[in-house]
Amino acid sequence: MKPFEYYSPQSVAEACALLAQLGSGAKILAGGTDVLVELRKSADDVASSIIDITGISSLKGIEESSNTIVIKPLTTHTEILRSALVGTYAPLLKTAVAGIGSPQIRNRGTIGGNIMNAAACADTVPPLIALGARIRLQSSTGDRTVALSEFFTKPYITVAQRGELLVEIRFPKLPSDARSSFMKLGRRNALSISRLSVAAILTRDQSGVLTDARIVPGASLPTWHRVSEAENLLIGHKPTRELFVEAGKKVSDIMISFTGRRWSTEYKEPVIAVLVRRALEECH
Amino acid sequence: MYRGASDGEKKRGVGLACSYRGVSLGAEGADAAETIVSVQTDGSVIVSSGVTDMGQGAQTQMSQIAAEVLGISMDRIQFLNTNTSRVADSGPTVASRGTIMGGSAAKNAAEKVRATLLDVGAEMTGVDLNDLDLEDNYLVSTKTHERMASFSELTAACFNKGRPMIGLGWHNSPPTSWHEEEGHGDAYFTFVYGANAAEVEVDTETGKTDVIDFASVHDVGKAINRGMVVGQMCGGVAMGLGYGLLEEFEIEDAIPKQLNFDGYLIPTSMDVPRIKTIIVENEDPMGPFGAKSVGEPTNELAAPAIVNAIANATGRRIYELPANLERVLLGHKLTRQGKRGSEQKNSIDAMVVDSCKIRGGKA
Ligand SMILES: Cc1cc2nc3c(=O)[nH]c(=O)nc-3n(C[C@H](O)[C@H](O)[C@H](O)COP(=O)(O)OP(=O)(O)OC[C@H]3O[C@@H](n4cnc5c(N)ncnc54)[C@H](O)[C@@H]3O)c2cc1C
Repeated sequence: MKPFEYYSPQSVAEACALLAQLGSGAKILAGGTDVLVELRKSADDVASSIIDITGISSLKGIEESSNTIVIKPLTTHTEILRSALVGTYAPLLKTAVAGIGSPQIRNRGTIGGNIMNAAACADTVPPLIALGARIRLQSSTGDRTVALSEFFTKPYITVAQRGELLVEIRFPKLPSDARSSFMKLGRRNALSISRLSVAAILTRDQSGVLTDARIVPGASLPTWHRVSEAENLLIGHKPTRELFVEAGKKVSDIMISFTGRRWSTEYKEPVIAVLVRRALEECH
Repeated sequence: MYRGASDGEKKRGVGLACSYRGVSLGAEGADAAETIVSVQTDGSVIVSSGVTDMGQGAQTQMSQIAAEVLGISMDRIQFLNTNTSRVADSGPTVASRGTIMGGSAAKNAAEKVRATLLDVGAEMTGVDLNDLDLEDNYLVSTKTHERMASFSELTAACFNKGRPMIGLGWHNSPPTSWHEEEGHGDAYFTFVYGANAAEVEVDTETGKTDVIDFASVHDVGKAINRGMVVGQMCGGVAMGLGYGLLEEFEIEDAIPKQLNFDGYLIPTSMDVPRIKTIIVENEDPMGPFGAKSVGEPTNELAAPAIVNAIANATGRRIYELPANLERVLLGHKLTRQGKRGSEQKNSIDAMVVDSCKIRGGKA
C-alpha cells in the first residue's frame, strides 16, 4: 500500500471542500471494505489522499417521511438488516443485505459504498432499482438528484463527477399489497459474491391479476435496469408457473441480446431464467 | 427428494467412500524419530521431539504419552519446539506419523526415566522395585496403595543421588519392503481403515450443491486424545468438502488465476454440516498404547463421498473436481476463452460480469 494523506471531515460541507481542493487523487473512505482491498491490490496510485467520511454523523441513519424511506449512505448493512422500516417497507432490501459477505463485512460495509463502488455484483443495487430509488449527490458547487437506474454507465463507472459525495438514498415505501423478493446465487453459503441475482416485486389486485411487476437482474447486464420486456409479459395476467417461466426466459434473452454468447453463457442462460422464476414465485 | 423422485428442483443423494491406508512412511524411506523426556529437580518435565507440531497437536499427544508413563498430570509438562541442534532430525511431519513415531519415541524416553525413578524410589522406601508404581503425581505401593512419596520428592531424591533423569527415546519403525519392478512387498507395518458417508442436496437447476449431513468413521488404533481425534476428523472433512466442491486452482499461460482467497474459495462454517464422528479403537501393537494415525486419513474420503452422493442424487457422475456450479449443472467446466475481461475493456460482454472477478473476487 502506498502512503497517503488522511483527512477526516466532520461535515458534508467540509468533505465537499476537501474533495474540490484535493482533486483527482482523493478517495472517499466509508466502511473501507472495497477501498482497502483496492489500495492493497493496486500497484498504481489509487489515491494520494483518503477522505474518511465516517465522522459525518448526518450521513448515518434510516428515516421515513410520509411515503418515502430515506437511507443515509453511511448506514451499514447490519443496520439495514435490523431496521424495522426496511423490514416493513422494503423487505427485498433486507434479504439482499442479509446475504452480503459475513457479519464482519456487514458491520463495516455501507450501502453508500456498495452503490458508489458500482460492482456488477453489488447486492443492494438490484433491490434499490426495483424500489425506484433516487440518490442525491452533493459537491462544493451544488447538489443534484439522479435516478439510480440512470446512475451506472458500466461496471465500476457511474455518472458521478469527481468531487461529488453521495448524501442520500430515497425510495417510495412498497405498498402493503406488494410482494417482493431477492434471489442470490453464489458459490458458497457465506462470503460469496453474487454469481447471479434477481430482485423482484409483484403487486396484484383483488382478483389476483398482476397490476405491477418489477424485475431487476444483478451481475448479468452491463448496467442494472428493470427488464420491462419481461415485466410486460406479467402485467394484466394472473400469475402462473408458466408465465413466470416465460418471464425468466425473456430476461435470459435480453441478457444475451446485451452480452452476446460468451464463455459463461451456457451456464447463465438457463440459470438466470430459473432465478427469475424463483424470485417471482417467492413474491407469492 | 431422492433420485427418482419426480417433483422438485432439489434432489438428495447419499454417497460412501472407504479407504485403508498405510501408516507412516513405510517402505518410502528411513522412518525414525527421537523424543527427549527431561525431568527437572522440581518435578516438572520438559519434552522435546524432532517431530514438528505445526498445529495438528503432535506435542499434546507426545506430552500426554510421557505423562501417562510417568504417572503425572499434563500441567507438569512443557514442550519445547523442534530444534535439530538439540534433538535428532526425525523426518518430516507427513504420512500421519507424528503420534505413532514421535509418540513411540516419547514412550520409550519416558520409560527410561521411569526405570531410574522407580529404582531410586525402591532405595528410598525399601519397598521392592516390582511393587512400586508412579500414579497421580505420586510414587505408590501397588500392594498397599499407599503413597510413598510425591513425584517432586522422588525427583529431588534422584537429583541428590546424582542419577540421570533424562531419557533419549528413539523409535525406528518396524521393517517394511517394496519391490519396485515387481510391484509388491510389505510396504507398511500397519494400516488404518476409514469410511465417510455424505448426504447432499443438489439444486438441479443451478448446480448448487449443499452437503447436509455427514458421518466420518476412523480406526485410529487407540485415541490418545479423543478431542483432538474428533478435531482431526472434522477438520479433515471440512477440508475435503472444499476440495470436493469449491477449491480450484487454474493455471493459464503459466500464470495462476487464483491469487488470493477471494478467488480460491474454501468452505465457511455455513457450508460445512454437522459432522458425526465415530472413533473405532483397534489397538495396534506397533503403536504407543496402541495408537496409529488420524491426520490424513480423515481428509481423503470427503470428496469421493460427496461426488458419489451427487451421482446418487442426479444420476450423473462428475469426474473432475471441484464439483462446482457449472460442472454439476452442465457436466463440464466453463473456461474463459480468449483475453481476460480486463484486457478487452471495450467489449460489453467482457465487462458485464468479469468485473466482480477482477476487482471484487470470483463471480
Ligand atoms: C470479504 C468481502 C465480501 C464481500 N461480499 C460482498 C457481497 O456479498 N455483496 C456485495 O454487494 N458486496 C460485497 N463486498 C463488497 C463491499 O463490502 C460492499 O460493496 C460494501 O457495501 C462497500 O461499502 P464500504 O462502506 O465498505 O465502502 P468503501 O470501501 O469505503 O467505499 C467503496 C467505494 O465507494 C466510494 N464511496 C463510499 N462512500 C461514498 C459516498 N458517500 N460518496 C461517494 N463515494 C463514496 C469509495 O470512494 C469507494 O470508491 C464484499 C467485500 C469483501 C471484502
